[in-house]
Order: sequence, then C-alpha cells, then structure tokens
Amino acid sequence: MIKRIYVDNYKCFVNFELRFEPLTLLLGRNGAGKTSVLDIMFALRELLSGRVKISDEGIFPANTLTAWQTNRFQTFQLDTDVDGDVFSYRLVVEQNQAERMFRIKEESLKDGERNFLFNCQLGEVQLYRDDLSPGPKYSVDWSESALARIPARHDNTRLTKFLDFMRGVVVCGMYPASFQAEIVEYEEMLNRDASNFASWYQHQQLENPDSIEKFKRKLEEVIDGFDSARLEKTGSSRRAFRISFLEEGKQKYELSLNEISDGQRALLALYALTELYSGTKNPLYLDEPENYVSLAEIQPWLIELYDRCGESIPQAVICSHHPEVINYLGSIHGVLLNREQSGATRVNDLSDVISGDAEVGITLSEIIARGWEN
Amino acid sequence: MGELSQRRVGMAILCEDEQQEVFFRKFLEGMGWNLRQLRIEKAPPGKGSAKQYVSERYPIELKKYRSKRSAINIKLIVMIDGDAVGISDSKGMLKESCRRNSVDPRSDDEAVAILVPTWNIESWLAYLDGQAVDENNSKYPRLDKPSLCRRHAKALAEMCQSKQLRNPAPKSLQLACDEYQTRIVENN
Repeated sequence: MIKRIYVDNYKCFVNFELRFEPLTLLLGRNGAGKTSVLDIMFALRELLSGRVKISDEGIFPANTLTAWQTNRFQTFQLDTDVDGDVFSYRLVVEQNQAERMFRIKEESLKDGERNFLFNCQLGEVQLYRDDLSPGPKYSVDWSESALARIPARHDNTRLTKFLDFMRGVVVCGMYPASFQAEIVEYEEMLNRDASNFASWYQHQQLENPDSIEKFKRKLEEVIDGFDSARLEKTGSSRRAFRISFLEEGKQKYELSLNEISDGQRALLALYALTELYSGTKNPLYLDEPENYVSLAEIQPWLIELYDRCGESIPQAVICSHHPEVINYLGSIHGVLLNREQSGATRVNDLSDVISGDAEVGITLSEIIARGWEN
Repeated sequence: MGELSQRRVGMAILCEDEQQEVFFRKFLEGMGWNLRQLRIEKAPPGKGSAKQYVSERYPIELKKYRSKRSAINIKLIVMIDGDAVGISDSKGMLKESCRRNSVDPRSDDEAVAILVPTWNIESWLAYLDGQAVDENNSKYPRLDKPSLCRRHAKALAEMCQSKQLRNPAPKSLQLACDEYQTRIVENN
C-alpha cells in the first residue's frame, strides 16, 4: 500500500504530507485538495507506466504550480510498502516557463534502508541492482520518467516490483453517462472516469473468471431483476456489454450497458471494483463513489469495501462529501484536509473535532454541515 | 435471482462504536444473515456520548420498529456497554429513556434484543480469545483495528450454533446469547 505522500508546490499543496491507512476517507470543503490527491496518484501512475510526458495534460503541466509561489520546482514523494518491501520514490519536476523547459530534474527510488535502487539527476541515470551494486549509467529523455523505461531483469526485481505496483494503482471518479457499451479491445486498467468499463470487464473476464461469477451473483442481490451479463459479438473484433433482466411475471429481456440507468451502471462498477480487485495488489483511489447510487445502497457497498480493505483489497482511499460515507467511516478512518490562511492545505486531526464535549454527540456529517469541523 | 435486490432492511442495529458494529455484524454473517438485510446506526463520535446517544435513540427506533412490524418481519438489536453501571442498570437506562419519551418499554413478544457487553466489548473479545474474563475489569485491551475481530465473531457464532458457550462465560455474554436466541432467532 501507499503509506505516505509528500507534495510541494503543486496546486494547494505546499510542503504537504499525508499518511494513508488501509482505508482512508478524505474529507474537506470544496477546493481543499481531496481530488488533487487523486490527480497526483493518477499522474504518477501514468508517468511510471511510460505512457506520458511530464507536461502532458493531466500529468504535471506548468499550470499545476502553486499559484502564489515563485518556486519553479515541484516535489513529489511516495513511501510504499509492497508485500513487506518498503520503497521511497521521489520526483522533482522543473517548470521553467520563461524558457519553455519542463523537465524531470530528479527521479529516484530507494529501499527501506535509504539505499538507491535507481537514481536519475538531470537526465543522467545510475541504475543499481537488487544487491545494491551499481549497474549501468546512461542518458535519458528528461521529459518522461526514466524509471518507467527500465525493463524487468533478473537483477532488478525490487525496482520492477515497485513499478508493477504503481502501474496497478486504480484511480477512478465514475461518470456513468460516459460508459461505452461497445468494446473494441481489452483494457487492463479502468479509465479515470470508468468510461471503458466494458473493455476493462472483458479483460477481467479472461484474467479472473472465478471472480466474474462471484460478481454476477452479487449483482443478483443488488440490481432489481438482474439475471446475467454477457459480451455479445457485434462485429469481427467488436463486442457489446449486454445485461439480461428476468422479473417475476415478465419475459426475459436484454439491455445494453448504455440503456440501463446511471445508477445501475454505477452499482455495476462499484461492485466490480470490490469483487474483481479482491485478491489483487491494486490499491483503489475513488472519488465520490457514492455518486448516482440510491441512499439504500451506499452503506451495503461501504460495508463490502470495509470488510475487504487491508485484506483482499490492500488499500482504498475515498474522497466523499456524503453523510452516509462520512458517518459510517469518518470517525476512525477520516482525514480532514483544510486550507489554511496561507492558502496551503494541511491535514487536520479529526480527533480534535470529534473529541468534543457534546453531552449527546451530533453526527460527524452534521458537524461538517455546520462548518464546525475547523 | 433478484429476491433481495430491492433492499429492505430486516434488522436495524443501534450500537456505540465501530468495534461493536464490526463484531456483531461478523457474528450475524456467521449465523447466516445477509449483509444487505442489516442497517447500522452507530453513535456519532464524542467523548462519553456514545452510551447516551444509544439511550436517546432507542425509543425512536422502538417506535419505528412497532410501526413497521406488521408489514415487515423486522428485528432491532441494541448494543450498549455495561461499563461500571452493569447490565441491569444499563437496561434500566434504556427503559427510563422510553418513559421520558412516552414510549412503552419493549414487551416479551417483540423482536428487540438488548445486548450489554460488560465491562465492554473488549471483555467479550478477550473471552472469545480464550481468556477467563472478569466483568469488573475495565482493562481488556482494544484490538489494533476493529476489523481484526473476525475470528472472535466466528468463535461466538460457532458456540451459538452448538448452543453452548465455553465455561466460564461472562454473564453479560450468556444473557446476550439468550436474548439473541429468544428474541431474534425464535421470534419469526
């Protein structure tokens, strides 16, 4: 799991540190930085997947510099624990707008004892082997992650372990209206908005057939009349996601993914996340997962997630404003992000909020609704 | 197919905190309940207020239970730590809260179970961990994480299914098991 993130000079984060647990609920007002935490995780995942350049939209373009700072360097640090192996990743980005030069100044990976496994300074890489002996030195394109380019070898298994872990980080803020019913190719990773749910499901069907069956059985409990889901061939290389319904007294009928409601799509995706990522090493970073979901369905899904976190799902970090989520998870798992007078975001200890002297406690969501959390 | 999909809660659980909630929920799972039948209401955070919250909330939940019971087969479980007050006085607090709110106390035929872990839920966890437990001892340690009570809940479910607690069992747990059996299981 990701244990800690440090960020400096990115949007509202100046010298900012946040620690994560197996289940963490990020709370805070609009603009406090909750989604920005997920933006950073997404950007780091994409960078370490080797798919993007530093200045690409959605990664670390110059407009992510903290507006009131003149410092042109952004720093990102992640401390992770992957099956007992501790890693510390550090990325320093230089945003030189005057010279239109946006580059990675520093990128390094260390182990739990602060030994380098990889070090890149201004485009010059020094590799290290698993036994910490120096490996090759070479020059790289500093507009992208050099670490992402390292191929897996017998003598760099630890570095590869970190990369594989980071490439599996799931970052999702669902937008069910964007879900595409037609599948053209398998997709291993869910998009940020889950629009490729069907393509991702197709991949899961091949990789995780047992989990797919459990997922379908779960949907029978969750979606009225749900009978089954299948991928129907609609062309030589195209398939469509179809859901069949069988309700008492009615004939069986089928609908495409884009013909069911937003809420039903949201439920499909939420239970797919908990069922299909169970038993994997993928941490889940979810932005307002309760959106579109009916009130009666929020707590049952939260309980499913809670029961799996730290066990079959290594980690879940949720951003939410919803009272159901706040009241169920907030008092023990909540972390409050708060913008200070300086504009920078800080983490406030919720115990200061909740250890109050109320004779009869009011709910945490009510405290927050009244603006009493600060 | 589709039988439980339109969620209709069959059991409301009113409890003090996350540890009570997770423990009892895991116990119910072990006894065959489907999670979707449960609705959890935990006391909001606030030092010393959890017991009072449950106490204040109880008559409201009892009234709601009564208004729905003819239409739906529902149960109400209330969990409140005994602390220094003990089992009888804790139940007395709930009865007094009903009186203040002009709600008749629960009757024998109602599927409303009041469970009073004494000294607190950690006492039960210690017992289910194999220890002999003194209900006057407030110092049984908390688990590092509430979710670690899975095996404790499983142990209790197994004992309940065989209708026998390991001797010597804490009195509060014995009474709780009796309440569960008579008011929840047998009251259908």
